Amino acid sequence: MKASLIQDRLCDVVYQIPLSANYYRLGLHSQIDQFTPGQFAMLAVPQIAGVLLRRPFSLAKQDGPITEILYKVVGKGTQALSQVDVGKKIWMLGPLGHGFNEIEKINEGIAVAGGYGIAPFYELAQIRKNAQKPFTIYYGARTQSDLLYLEQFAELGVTLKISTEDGSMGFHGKITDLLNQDFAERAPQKIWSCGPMGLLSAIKKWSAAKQTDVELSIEEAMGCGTGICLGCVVKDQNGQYIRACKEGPVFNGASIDV
Amino acid sequence: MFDYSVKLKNLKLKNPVIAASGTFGYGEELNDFFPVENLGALSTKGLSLKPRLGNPMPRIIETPSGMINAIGLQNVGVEAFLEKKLPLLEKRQVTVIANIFGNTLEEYIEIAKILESSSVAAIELNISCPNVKAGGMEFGNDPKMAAVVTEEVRKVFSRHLMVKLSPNVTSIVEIAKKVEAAGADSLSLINTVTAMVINTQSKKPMIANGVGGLSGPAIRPIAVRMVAQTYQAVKIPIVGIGGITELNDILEFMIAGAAAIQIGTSNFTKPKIAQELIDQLQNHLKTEGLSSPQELVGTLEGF
Ligand SMILES: Cc1cc2nc3c(=O)[nH]c(=O)nc-3n(C[C@H](O)[C@H](O)[C@H](O)COP(=O)(O)OP(=O)(O)OC[C@H]3O[C@@H](n4cnc5c(N)ncnc54)[C@H](O)[C@@H]3O)c2cc1C
Ligand SMILES: Cc1cc2nc3c(=O)[nH]c(=O)nc-3n(C[C@H](O)[C@H](O)[C@H](O)COP(=O)(O)O)c2cc1C
Ligand code: FES
Repeated sequence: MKASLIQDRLCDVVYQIPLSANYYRLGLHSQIDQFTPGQFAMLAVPQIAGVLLRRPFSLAKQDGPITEILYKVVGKGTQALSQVDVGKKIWMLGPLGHGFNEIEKINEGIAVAGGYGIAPFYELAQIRKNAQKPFTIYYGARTQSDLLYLEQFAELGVTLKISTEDGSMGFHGKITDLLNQDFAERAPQKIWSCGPMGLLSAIKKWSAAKQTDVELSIEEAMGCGTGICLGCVVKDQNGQYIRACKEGPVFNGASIDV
Repeated sequence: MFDYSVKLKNLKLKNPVIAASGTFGYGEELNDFFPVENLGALSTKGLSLKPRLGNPMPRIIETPSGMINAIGLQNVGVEAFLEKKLPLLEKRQVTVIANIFGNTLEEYIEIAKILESSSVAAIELNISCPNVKAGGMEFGNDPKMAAVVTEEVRKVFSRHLMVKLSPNVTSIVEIAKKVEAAGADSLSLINTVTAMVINTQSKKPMIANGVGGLSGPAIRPIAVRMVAQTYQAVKIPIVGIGGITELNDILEFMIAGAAAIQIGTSNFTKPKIAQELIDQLQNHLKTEGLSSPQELVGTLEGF
């Protein structure tokens, strides 16, 4: 895939759609060509009440000049972001970091997502569809209202394997239990995963036991997103700190300590 | 004729805007956004004798109009810097200030000796570092120790020696005077302000190291005050640092007495900020009919 140049642009907000459970779909007129799923952007949230740093968000979808971000309101920055109306402008710095690999190449494509970790798989599903390759997402959530993009994935021909902690939809329990059930006898060719750290370390363990190749998109607090603050590091297999924003956020599971 | 360049004694800068240590890497990353040679100078991430792993995570936390960091001075070490990082900066003809620190006096001297035979234009001595041989007390917190490090590095490094002062002291003016007497060519101030944020649920500090350094607009008024006081007490040039985000902030520092300034945390929030401020400052000075930045320095009244 052709790499897009990093740009820092003041983008028009073209849509801001509230979803369930405090999630929003944000459309920005970013004019980037394309990105690799797993790459992210730093958004400058409105300068309210001393918020200084930009916030990192996965790039969810590119549709012509418009980039979609899927975000959840969790604190003051995302709260301020949700108040920005259509027609207003937001600074977006991206695409940043390294995304998932072998998206078009792998025959049996499997993703494991939790929470807003679902975001990068929207574009990834589109790429799989264009490449005429099957795609299955194991999607774990606390409850039904936390599950997003279900219609979009259905349109893209994705096989969804859902688990909820409260049993309100799909399998009742943890996503790794569902994986164990489906892969009792064999192992998937490769897994792409994005979600909370707890999920990622469980998937890393599970994949290691299955000897399956796994890529993890990790989430760390980020000061800059460009590799200069050293605030976002993870330990690699040699015990050295490497930057999630620059060498990641997608890493080969075996190469990092999560 | 307008001349944008600045002379800090024997160090000539093409303009007064310097990228602050630890906020610009070794100049590789932000080259995607503007040609780094446009900077007046680049102060490198703090360099130690041996590579340093740095602190565990979490390392940063946002605070009102600022951030606290405890990166733990993660760096590649002075040798790897000279071998792998400096060549790119040389090729681009960047004015390089090597920011250095040590855990002992001997380490400071050793690094300075190594740099003496390199192409770096200057050393910026970070004295906000614990002296392991003095029970972990920071060199920069003790006027005598600050003077000793300056004097010893001065003996082995012949080019420009800038000493970076810590704000976490009783009297920055007293330390500034001692460091000037010990042979510093210029002073840069301020380094970060020691600070803490507590998670009220877990009752633990929000960063793994417990305490960290506060930077950003939150510290600017402290920094401006310290520059103004120091300017009255020393003769060597001062480089102002702390929370600069826009043109007016630079003007404040220069009026207070800074001959040049450094931009730190703002590089995180806007990668092109240094280039923008270089352009804006130049336009401003010209519009005001000044012939050089120097004309603005120390023009503070009523203080
Ligand atoms: C590479 C990367 C990709 C990301 N992609 C997305 C994405 O696609 N969509 C999305 O919604 N978010 C994403 N995030 C997380 C997002 O950056 C944070 O949720 C956001 O920065 C929070 O900002 P805030 O100002 O609202 O919260 P803050 O004010 O910074 O925090 C307020 C409160 O929320 C809590 N909090 C902070 N972050 C999180 C979190 N991640 N989860 C739960 N609680 C949190 C804090 O502990 C605090 O209690 C991503 C993060 C990274 C590093
Ligand atoms: C993440 C981070 C890392 C830093 N690392 C160093 C360092 O290695 N050496 C040093 O002398 N100062 C370091 N500093 C201090 C800055 O150079 C500067 O003095 C301080 O941040 C105040 O300026 P600012 O408010 O513009 O950021 C660091 C600051 C930050 C935020
Ligand atoms: S977020 Fe600053 S180095 Fe990664």
